Amino acid sequence: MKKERVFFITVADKPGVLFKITNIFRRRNFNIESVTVGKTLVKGESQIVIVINADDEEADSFARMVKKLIDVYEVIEAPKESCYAQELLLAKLDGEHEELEKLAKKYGAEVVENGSLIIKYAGEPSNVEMLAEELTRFKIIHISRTGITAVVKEDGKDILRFGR
Amino acid sequence: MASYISGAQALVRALEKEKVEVIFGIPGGATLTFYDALKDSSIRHVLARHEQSAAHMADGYARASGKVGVCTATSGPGATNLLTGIATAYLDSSPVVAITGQVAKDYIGKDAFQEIDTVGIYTPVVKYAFQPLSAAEIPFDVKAAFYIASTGRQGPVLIDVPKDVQIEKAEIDFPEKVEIKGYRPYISPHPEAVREAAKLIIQAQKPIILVGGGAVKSGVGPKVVELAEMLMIPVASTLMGKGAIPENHFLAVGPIGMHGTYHANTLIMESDLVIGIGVRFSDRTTMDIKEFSKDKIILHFDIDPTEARKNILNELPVIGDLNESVSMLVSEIRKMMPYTKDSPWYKRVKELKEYYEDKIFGENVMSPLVIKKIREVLHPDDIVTTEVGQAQAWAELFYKALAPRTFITSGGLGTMGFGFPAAIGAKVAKFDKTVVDIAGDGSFLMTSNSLATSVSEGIPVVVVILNNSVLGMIAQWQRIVYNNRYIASSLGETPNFPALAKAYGAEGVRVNGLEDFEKYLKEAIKSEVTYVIDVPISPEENVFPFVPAGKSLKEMIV
Repeated sequence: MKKERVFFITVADKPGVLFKITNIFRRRNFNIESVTVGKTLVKGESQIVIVINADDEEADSFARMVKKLIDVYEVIEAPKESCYAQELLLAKLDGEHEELEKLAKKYGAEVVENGSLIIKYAGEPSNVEMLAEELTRFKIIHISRTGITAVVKEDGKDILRFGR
Repeated sequence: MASYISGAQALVRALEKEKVEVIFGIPGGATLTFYDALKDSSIRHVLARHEQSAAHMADGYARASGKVGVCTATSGPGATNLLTGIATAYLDSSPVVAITGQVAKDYIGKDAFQEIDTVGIYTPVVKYAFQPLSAAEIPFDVKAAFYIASTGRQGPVLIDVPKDVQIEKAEIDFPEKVEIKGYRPYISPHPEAVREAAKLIIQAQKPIILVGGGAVKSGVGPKVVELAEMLMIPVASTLMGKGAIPENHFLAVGPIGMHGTYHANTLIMESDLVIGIGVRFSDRTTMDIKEFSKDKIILHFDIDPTEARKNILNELPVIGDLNESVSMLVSEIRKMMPYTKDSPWYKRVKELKEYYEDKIFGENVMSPLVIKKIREVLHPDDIVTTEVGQAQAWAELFYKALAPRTFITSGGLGTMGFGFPAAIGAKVAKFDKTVVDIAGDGSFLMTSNSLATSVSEGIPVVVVILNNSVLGMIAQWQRIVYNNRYIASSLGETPNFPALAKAYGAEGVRVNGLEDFEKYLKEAIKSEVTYVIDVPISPEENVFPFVPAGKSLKEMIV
């Protein structure tokens, strides 16, 4: 069954690695829903978190193809429901400060003022989606979303692990 | 022990340390410094006349010898020309190291003269791509490139060396060993998976072994023979698996696939269990994969974890070193009850094999007889390479490979023009063996300028052209699948091949009939010069059996 899958890919922190990984998805015509990259605690390594829509076989095959890349040290694949996932949204706006405060309160977001009017929210990806929708009634100057990052839940199901 | 030398000198010394005997290539602006350093080395350089051929030569050398083949080209057009040859090596898992020159670091990415994103375009068709950005990195990259190319599932590796890195001097160390984090080529098979496989084999009534290119490369053949004889079951092969076991063995049934033998295709479709060894169940081998895997158990022994369940979802994969896994399998089965010689399945195998083994389908066909004659004349460990198309399919069907690494063909990528330069590479590797390229006129024209290399470098090979003045396989499809609507498959007035050969300083002859052919083939072998034997055949000759695309192996046209 097609569903959202999260790939946690630990890689060598050097040029060209992300290209090789995304190229594997591109070759089979898969759209990457989201990708985030950050350093791990180990020097010279980083972690790439990729979300795609795929069925069980596709996910298994992708995980093994990605692991086969020499610069990839470990691949963990989990259905999104087996993950605790979060996304960060930042939006610079023009508009009523008070109205924005009200909206921020509803979501537990924060209004930052440093010369510009900025709303900052980190939370469930679905909430980020809703908030983004509501922000359209303001004049948005610039909106940035990180895409999701996540960790696997302790009781998460159907988790594949390759490498190490 | 460090020495103060240039990057180019370090590159040459690193290649020497890998015991490289020969490099196939063409120099250019971005490799002049490398070539300058090569002048002081004992490594032989074979000058190709097109970079694609240089890559095929290195590939042919690798396939014939089992060693890593090395080729080189300059930046830009040199690298793009070389690419087809490297992709060919990649699809057939052949260990080749390609060294390309690159423009100086400061010019990379700025559309400089003869600059192209070599690493970018090679990445999907190599196991790994290195681009050293300082001279000091070169020894590690070379050592790692050879290690990666030659271990696990083998394949090509690129080293793209910017010109200023070749020139730069530095104190350079040469590592004795490299560790590559994230690369663990050796995989030990899981004993439980092997036991499970053994159990399924014992329970099966009609098992068949299918060997592929992995079985040739790993040298697992003798163990496969042991397995087959113990169970008295047939051994089929893929195109790439030809020669893994001697094809004249009493249990060998030849290749399956689009142009498999009648009995091999029939037997594998009748079987209830397939023991795949070093195969990848490619579309040309299995044809309609649903029909192929229906009502049977598929066991899949391979070194590459990504091959598991890639094409057949419900197979049982046994991932690991083939020599180890097949040995384990043999000893597991030995513990259980083996088959008897008189099983109904063995009788069926014998019956089909006896009836179809020497059968030639179609009327007035010449090509199969030519191929059989080549087999008759050559020694068991002489080498045949093939071009791609009808000539390849006839060779697949009618040339019995009797030893591993004696049948060299572009199976995965199907690259026309492969056979002749690959023959030159194979001859360099095995100079005391006769090497024959089984060619079509269409394919030969793609790399026939390698005649210049063959003659001037003193690398004599025999080219047998099955000359039908058409792109034979295209014409065959247009005849059978496209209702005789021929377009662009006629080659019209093809060159006078013997004259072409002579123009290059080689020998050439056009033969009349089989006896004439035999006479000149023997003369060509004895002459020890490059020899082109032009064999006229009818443009209407078809390769049979033929399974059209999309059909199952049962639906052979004969």
